[in-house]
Amino acid sequence: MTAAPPPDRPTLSVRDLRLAIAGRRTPTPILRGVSLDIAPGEVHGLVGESGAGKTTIGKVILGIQPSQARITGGSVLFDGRDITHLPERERRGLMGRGMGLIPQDPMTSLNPAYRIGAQIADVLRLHLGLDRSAAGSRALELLGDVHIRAPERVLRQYPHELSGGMRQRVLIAVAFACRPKLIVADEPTTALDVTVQRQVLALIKRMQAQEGASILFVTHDLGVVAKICDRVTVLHGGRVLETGDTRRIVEAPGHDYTRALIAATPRHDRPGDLLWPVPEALMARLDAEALAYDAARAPGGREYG
Amino acid sequence: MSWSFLLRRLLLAIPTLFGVAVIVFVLLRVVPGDPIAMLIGPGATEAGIAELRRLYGLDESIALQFVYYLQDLAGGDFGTSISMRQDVMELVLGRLPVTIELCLVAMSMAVLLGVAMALAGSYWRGRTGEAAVDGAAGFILAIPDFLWALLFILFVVVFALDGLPISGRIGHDVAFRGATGFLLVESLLRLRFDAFGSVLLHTVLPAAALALPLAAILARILKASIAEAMTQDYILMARAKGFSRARIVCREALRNALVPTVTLTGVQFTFLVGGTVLVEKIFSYPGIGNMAIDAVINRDLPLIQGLVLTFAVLFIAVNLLVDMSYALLNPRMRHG
Repeated sequence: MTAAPPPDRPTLSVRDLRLAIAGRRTPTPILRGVSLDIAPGEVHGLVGESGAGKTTIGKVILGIQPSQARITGGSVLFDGRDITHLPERERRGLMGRGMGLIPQDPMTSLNPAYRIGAQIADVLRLHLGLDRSAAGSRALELLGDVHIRAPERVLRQYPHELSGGMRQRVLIAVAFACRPKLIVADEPTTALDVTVQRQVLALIKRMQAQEGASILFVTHDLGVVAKICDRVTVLHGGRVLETGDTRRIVEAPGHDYTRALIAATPRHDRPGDLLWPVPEALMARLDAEALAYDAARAPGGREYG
Repeated sequence: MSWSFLLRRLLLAIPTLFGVAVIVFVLLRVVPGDPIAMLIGPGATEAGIAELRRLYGLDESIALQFVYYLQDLAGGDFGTSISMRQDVMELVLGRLPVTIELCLVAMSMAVLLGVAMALAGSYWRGRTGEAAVDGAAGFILAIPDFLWALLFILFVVVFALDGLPISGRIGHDVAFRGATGFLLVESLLRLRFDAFGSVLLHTVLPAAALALPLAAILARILKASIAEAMTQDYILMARAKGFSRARIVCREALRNALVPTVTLTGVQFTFLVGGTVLVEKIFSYPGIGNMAIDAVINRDLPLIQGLVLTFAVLFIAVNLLVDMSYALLNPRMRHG
């Protein structure tokens, strides 16, 4: 073990990250110089509409971006170390061990061919070197932690025998299994129905507090952000529009787009309020800014070539 | 998988077999050539021919003949071989184990080779390895089983590979006469490894000829199924857990790709049974396929009839095996 890190060093620090998807002729820029910091134990919201690049950032951090994606600049520092250019074996040692994933769709994220127990135990055996029985009893413990009733029975069941909420609990158990420092939660409640959403959100918050992990919480739902996140980054077109404390962002947004997003979010406490779509003029302005960024960054598209 | 599933499948086999029996009955009365003329030498008297007709029931009406035919079949009586003057049932049962063992060896080879090719192609997806596997599968598939058999014999002769026998089922120098026809299984159980080795060596080439085309089909379909499985969310999850590509392909994707592959290739396994007819003949392999060709050449109608029905039973058995493996592979089916 190296010396304990200074307490102020962020668990995750994304610096000016640029990424493009290789196309037939020209690459398509997806991330345009994204920077964000997540402190130890912080729950950091990443909001934006679909196509903003939220999920892509999560995937790059986890190392599971699609093979056509090229990181064209910037870095991702995990615990102070740049992980964008690690050798594959070393990178895999971090995946599942130092960082975990809570996926968007629990219905399709468990392997239908294997029992629940095996799918929790495999990551424990891979990273912690536990033997079969030790991994099995730890898996049982984890299922208890995520409040699954009759965990002994669930261990022996197949995914198709569980409900969506149950499956998401199992996946949360998997994410926290190796006590990672960082968890990427990729819209973890979007695919669930409303009553289950609330329970799962509370569970993630409780597990996070108990384990002291940092969370990057990817979502399009500002209501969820207000409930669970300490800080928020607002993303549009692969660019960070603003970052700040959740309370500040929700109560006094600094960017027009954030204000527009808030106006477009239904509020449980004021269900009578009208919802406003994001104004066309604002969208056009943001698109123009993104194109200007590309032009400045890549004269003739060379950077992405 | 439940017993009721098995029982239902077995009951379904009865109408299938009945249909085959009807077709055989009709065909044997439609094809040119008088079976009595085959039996009897030249210079027979009219009275002698009439006597034989009466003996074989050929003087009755077609409807009545059909009823007698079904009665005999139900009683397990397939008649007497014209060319060998022996009970057809005995003849066929004596040779059946040979073909069963050959088919099982060939199927195992096909599955092993097909799965290995599919895994290699999937692992090296988008690289030269994948192109090599695709090319090999296409090449293997372009050549039918009986041509592979002839090519193998050609190779053995040209390169003087004396260690690889190309005819028969067991070496002449090996003194082993099994109590059953299942020489492979029996020699192993009796710890006669010399006999086991000899039979296995004799089986390698015919089994390989039967296995290659099936292996190529399996490889193609399994590879496509793996590619489909690799796009699923649980694969992304496995990557996020930190598993290697080899493990993800071989464990996470393969298991899920097997179910559609078995569904799509199940019928191909029965084609392999049909392939034994020519391949056994080419290698002088003493199974029912070889016997079928001789029976056709000799116009041995009772024997042909018995063999066709036996092949039908084999087809049904293979189909049943495929369905059972399907139920074993898919946890959703296991729970009903």
